[in-house]
Amino acid sequence: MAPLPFTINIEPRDNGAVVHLVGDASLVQADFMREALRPVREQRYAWVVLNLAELMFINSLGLGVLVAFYKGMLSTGTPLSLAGPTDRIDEVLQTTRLNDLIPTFATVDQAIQGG
Amino acid sequence: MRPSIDQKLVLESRLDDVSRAEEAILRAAEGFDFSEGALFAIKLALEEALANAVKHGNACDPSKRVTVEFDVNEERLRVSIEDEGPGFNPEHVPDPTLDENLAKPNGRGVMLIRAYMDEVSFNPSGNRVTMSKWCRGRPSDSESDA
Repeated sequence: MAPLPFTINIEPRDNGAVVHLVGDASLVQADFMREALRPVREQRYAWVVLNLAELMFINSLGLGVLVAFYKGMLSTGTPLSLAGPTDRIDEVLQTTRLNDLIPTFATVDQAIQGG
Repeated sequence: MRPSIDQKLVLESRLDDVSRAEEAILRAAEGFDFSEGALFAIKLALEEALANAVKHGNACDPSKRVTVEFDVNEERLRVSIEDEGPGFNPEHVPDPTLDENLAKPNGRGVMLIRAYMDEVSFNPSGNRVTMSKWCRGRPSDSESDA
């Protein structure tokens, strides 16, 4: 079970952005994740959706990056939501109750409409 | 019956070093009948415990080591992870799922270990965690299901 490569792809859409988190956000990826999300915050999009459909793994370090990112977006007035978590990632979000903190939707389209 | 595997690894206090231990343990577990969900749980608990040992226990001090011992057989995987730090009292870790703690970026590791493993214990000084995952659920769970 070697970790899958982890990538973050930013897709500008209308006046917002869909950010695709792909692979395993494993132990050594938290710093990369923080740095890769920094330009999303600096770009001042009207809204941002993190697409988790292809995120296969995340630990508490990665969750901490998401929480810090959410708070940063909140401070600039940019709505942030999560979309499409797999069952396993959804379970982690529910176990930690982060789905109560960060709006979470089944699909990117629902997140864009809901956000 | 497949032979059990047991191993002891002594690692430097670096995340990339302890990641190799994680991969070795998961490779060993994959040789048995753990479900995908159980392997996910083991991976998550390992990452939480290893990150705690490196970052909090040893404070990333390169002179300190993380000792990992594991054994896996057809019934269960058991892992102990020990650091050289002063230890902590796991009962004093704030509940990260309380409303007032939800927006804190840290403090979810111990809770996730407990949530995803079947058995978790700490030594009295709090610098070693031992955790187990049963291949087909805890024996007591099966008995209560019967």
